[in-house]
Amino acid sequence: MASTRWGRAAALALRRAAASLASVLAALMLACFLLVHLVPGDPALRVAGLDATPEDVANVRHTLGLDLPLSQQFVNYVTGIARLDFGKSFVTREPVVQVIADRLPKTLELATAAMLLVMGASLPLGMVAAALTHDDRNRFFDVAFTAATSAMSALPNFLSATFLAFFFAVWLRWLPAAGAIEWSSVILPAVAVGLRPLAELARIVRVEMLNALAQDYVRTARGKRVPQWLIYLRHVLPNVLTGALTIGGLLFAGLIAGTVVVENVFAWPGLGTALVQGILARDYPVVQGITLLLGFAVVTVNTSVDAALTFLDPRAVKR
Amino acid sequence: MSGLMVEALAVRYGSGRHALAAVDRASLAVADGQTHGLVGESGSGKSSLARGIVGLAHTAAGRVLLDGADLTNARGARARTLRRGVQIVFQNPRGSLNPRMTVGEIVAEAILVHRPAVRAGDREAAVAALLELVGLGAAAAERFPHQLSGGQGQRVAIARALATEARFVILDEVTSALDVSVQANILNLLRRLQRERGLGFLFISHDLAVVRYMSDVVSVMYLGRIVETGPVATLFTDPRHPYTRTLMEAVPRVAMPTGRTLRLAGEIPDPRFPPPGCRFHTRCPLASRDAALMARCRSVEPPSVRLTERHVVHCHAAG
Amino acid sequence: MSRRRRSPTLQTARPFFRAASAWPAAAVLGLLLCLVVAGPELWGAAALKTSIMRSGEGPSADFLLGTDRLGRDLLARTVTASRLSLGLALAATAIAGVLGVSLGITIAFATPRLQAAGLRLIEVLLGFPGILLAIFVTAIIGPGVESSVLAIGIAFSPEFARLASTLALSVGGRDYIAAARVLGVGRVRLLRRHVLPNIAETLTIAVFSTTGAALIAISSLSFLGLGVQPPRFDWGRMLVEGVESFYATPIAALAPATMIATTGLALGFFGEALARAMNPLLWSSADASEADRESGNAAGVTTAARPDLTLSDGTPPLLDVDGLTVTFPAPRGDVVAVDNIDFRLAEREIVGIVGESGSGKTQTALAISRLVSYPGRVAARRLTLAGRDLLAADARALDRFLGTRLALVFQDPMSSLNPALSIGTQVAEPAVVHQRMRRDAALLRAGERMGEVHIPRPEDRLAQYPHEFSGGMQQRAMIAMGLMNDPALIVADEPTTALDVTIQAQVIEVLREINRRHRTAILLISHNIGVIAGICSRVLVMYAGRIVEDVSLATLLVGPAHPYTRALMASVPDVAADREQPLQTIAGQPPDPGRLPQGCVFAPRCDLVRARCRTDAPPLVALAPRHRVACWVAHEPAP
Repeated sequence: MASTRWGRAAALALRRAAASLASVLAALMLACFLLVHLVPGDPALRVAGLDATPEDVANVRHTLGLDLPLSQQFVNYVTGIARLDFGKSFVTREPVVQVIADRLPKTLELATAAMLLVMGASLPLGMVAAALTHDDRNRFFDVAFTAATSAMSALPNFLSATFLAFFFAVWLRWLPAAGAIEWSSVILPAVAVGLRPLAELARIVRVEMLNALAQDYVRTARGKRVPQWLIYLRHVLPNVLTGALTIGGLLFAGLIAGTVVVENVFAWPGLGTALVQGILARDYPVVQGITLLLGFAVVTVNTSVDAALTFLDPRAVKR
Repeated sequence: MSGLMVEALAVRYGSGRHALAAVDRASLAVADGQTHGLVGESGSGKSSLARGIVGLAHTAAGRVLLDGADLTNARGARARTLRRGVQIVFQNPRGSLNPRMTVGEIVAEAILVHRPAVRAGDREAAVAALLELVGLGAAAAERFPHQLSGGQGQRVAIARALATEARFVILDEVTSALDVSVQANILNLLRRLQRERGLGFLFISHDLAVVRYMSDVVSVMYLGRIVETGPVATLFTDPRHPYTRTLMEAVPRVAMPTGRTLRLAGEIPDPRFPPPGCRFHTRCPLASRDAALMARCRSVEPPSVRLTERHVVHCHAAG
Repeated sequence: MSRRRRSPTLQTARPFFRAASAWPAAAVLGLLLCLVVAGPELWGAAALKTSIMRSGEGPSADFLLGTDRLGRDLLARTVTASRLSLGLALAATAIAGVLGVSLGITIAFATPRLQAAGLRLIEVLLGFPGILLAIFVTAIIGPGVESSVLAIGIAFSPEFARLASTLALSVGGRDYIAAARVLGVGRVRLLRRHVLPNIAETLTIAVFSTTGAALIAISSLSFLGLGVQPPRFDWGRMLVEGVESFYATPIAALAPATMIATTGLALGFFGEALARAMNPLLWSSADASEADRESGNAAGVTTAARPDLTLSDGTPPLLDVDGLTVTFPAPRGDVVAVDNIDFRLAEREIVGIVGESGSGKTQTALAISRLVSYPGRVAARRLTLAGRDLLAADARALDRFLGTRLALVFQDPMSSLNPALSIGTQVAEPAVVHQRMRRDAALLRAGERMGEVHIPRPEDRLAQYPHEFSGGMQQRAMIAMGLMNDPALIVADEPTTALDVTIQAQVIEVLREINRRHRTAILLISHNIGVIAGICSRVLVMYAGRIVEDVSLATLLVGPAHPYTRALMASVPDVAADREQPLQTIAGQPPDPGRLPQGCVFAPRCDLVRARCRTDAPPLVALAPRHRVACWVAHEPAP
């Protein structure tokens, strides 16, 4: 298997992915662990409450393992994660794993819906825009497209979330305004999350296509009198996909960030709302756990995209 | 002992298993007021040799002597002072002139670095003098590189090289990017400057006719090694190395168009994996006809055979 | 440096204000600046004054934008909030910029191992979404203004670091950096004078767009309750309060929202216009440009009647070009790349076109192949190939014809082949598309053609990709691609220029064989007279868009008639030429294609020029059988 082109590419891709994943995860875990200890003040005191006695505080400290040396705490932390034990919420005392398990599916639903929207709409939009404006044609459309996408990118997502909620839920009453009751509840939040990435990706797809259309190999294809649609499909698209895929992967990271904010606007019961509540309530185990998970998701997507790119680019296969 | 001497210079990129030995023990000498031509095809290492001589590329072995002083092993300020004696002009004037500096600033910088004590007014006068010397008016000092034609840009690059009062200039494909008529101008200029100032040139080019016109002595490089060095007349009328012979045969001669050319078998090997023994043995028309010779060429590096005082060949079949 | 040189600021200002988007953006930002400076002074008090009686009102004479929940003047609040909002955004950007750029440049100039590690670090940091990082930092430090600014600043710095390192690395590889190093320029001066100014353009765009993004990010943090804390207020805080009462008083949220969006847009456009203005290509120098030749008749219409063509044996020409003109519209008047040329090519003939840059030879090739791209315009009295009119309107039918009868070979084979497709797919394509061949049959033929052009073991190579071929093999693959449909004519534009001498010889040999075996005509374009001499039987010499001489190879080498041709031939150092003599040169420069001189295009540089040459353009007429020259002097009878 290792002797075939695909076998070699796959092995290379997997090796690189594993290496970077491991190093980033280590850094991530260290950062999350240090979160509690970087905060000024005594966490044990905070948990025990302001009117706790010194014995209570000492008890709490012992229960939370805060009286052990730092390195030992880190080891415990890491082994705990391996066992999927993220600790218990300071506020509700339920296991953080439980909190995550309850909320994760909803966030995934939202992120997936938004991602589908982004990829599904931006690719055709960008390609059509490029087809219409290459070689400086249709100047007016060029300007209009740039202005529209710039405006969409300049709008904060909580703002578009609010506007969408107002128009479609309150005014027109077409869609639900908050919560996750019906299947259609996901539409407005998904649009709110996906609007900015869609605009950015459409612009990038257009730029990539314009670059590709200016290449010499397109001139060769035109010289061969290959029909225009075939030029786009067979000659240009493969060269555009690599660039678009990279950006798409990076945008996914931004998408995750977007869900945090939008969930709060639509009272969507996902990780985002839990995260913000946790921060405001100084519920550190919850914050640690969710941040770790979100970071992990982002890093995994990025490395997968990297790996896929290595796979797709014929030039990446070394002798 | 005056002159620019290169002794067994080796230039390597990278390290370990993936190192690319671009130049392997090349030696040549440039005398005052003379031109030493250097020819070779892609992968021959001629540009790497140029860079190694001026200190832009890492030299793994060998030395460069300027009037007896060792350039390669000098350090710090002394190295900088010594190295100014050898300057370089590159192929593409667009890339070798800082687009954000005017012509005057570009040349003045060279003077500033060479003699920091010179007052601004005197410096300006010196710049004007240099620009006149290379055939541009003093008014050219106000222009930006993008406002110059290719030929004018090269003149500026030459003026800059002369501003440090260097006695040796490496000319790396300086006319390859220019039109034929402009090339003629630049070549005439170079010859005049050489006559008036006694400059020594290392003239690198893939264009054999131009090399022949400009040089007194010529070295031929193949895959990182110098295979033959000799006076220009001899090399062009009676070359001794089989590679030099095929090179001369392949040159399209304007006055005497040939019907058949000696077709060289195969392609130039990958410089990362040079053939053992004599690097030319995989394509050598002599070795391919003689099995005994081939056995030697394939395993043993060719000796350096001195045919006359100035004519040296590296070949098992010579002498 | 002369005192006459304009300062860099002025130099940038002129092209900046020429951009259409710059004015409105500058106006908006200017207004914003006034608000930031004067707003809190003028409206600060009104912004804080509450009034329960007038809470939640719409726009009125007293309150232009209405009031919020607590009866405060919305206009006053919005204006006053500008200082904090913008200030925070700028502070965050400054932190991100300084941190990121220093890190990026340090990495770019570090030793290779450190560099690799540094770049890796940046990649990892970038993968982490900025806002999460910001939330993380605020979680540690606690919500508030300081933590928000610090958080956003740190969160955006990897982006700057990556940008700075990429830019510095690319600039670092340029020859002018190498030249400076050889001169002995110190590291500090190198950075200051050579590296930083050349990366400033892109960094400027980044700074402006980051400020806009920082504005949004801080507002988001405030929205989540983590940023600005009451009683201080920025636009983000106003949004929190406004959103709560959105359905009752929408303006409370719309006002700050509009400010954020507008500011972001204005910053973006301003940054782009500024960056474009920093491009030195738009600068002019202090003194006026040198006197250009006065433009006369830009189109250069020749005066004589229909020229006399060389083909006299009655056979119809394979390629018939008559009155071909290629123009490109430009703001100051059309640029004429090819000016009313005519020539013919017979079957099996190999004709060369020789010329320097600006001669129009490439555009001629493109015009014949119908590949001149928009907005170029092609016009001709007649342009036919094998009897078929190439200017006919029906592009689709023409495609099939041209796809089978005409083959093209371009200069740079590496970039002319699609890196994402296999060689086999590309070479077989002409047959698949135009002859409706099945893929496997086409691949078989592709293998045969590749063998014909001496590519070793072609069957094995069909599945390979272009980057696995050497330059010479790539060019031969291009030729094989052109041969798939047995063309009548091959148009080769500088096919050997990018190749080594020995490989050049191989490619020319291949073309010669094809001409012999398949009776294919070849139109070979090159600036290298040696290459032309190696294969062509007839040569067209072009200058400034016109054909100045149409001559057989033998005559070209022995005694051309046109002064330009003679000078050109004399300026080429030939292996047999006299080394003692300086090369002949041609005084002056080629003309600007947008401003061709009246009369003969070569007159300004010709040493045989007469008065008539400057007023009337000489037609291309026969001097002898199979020898046409466009020159008044050449046609004068010998004394």
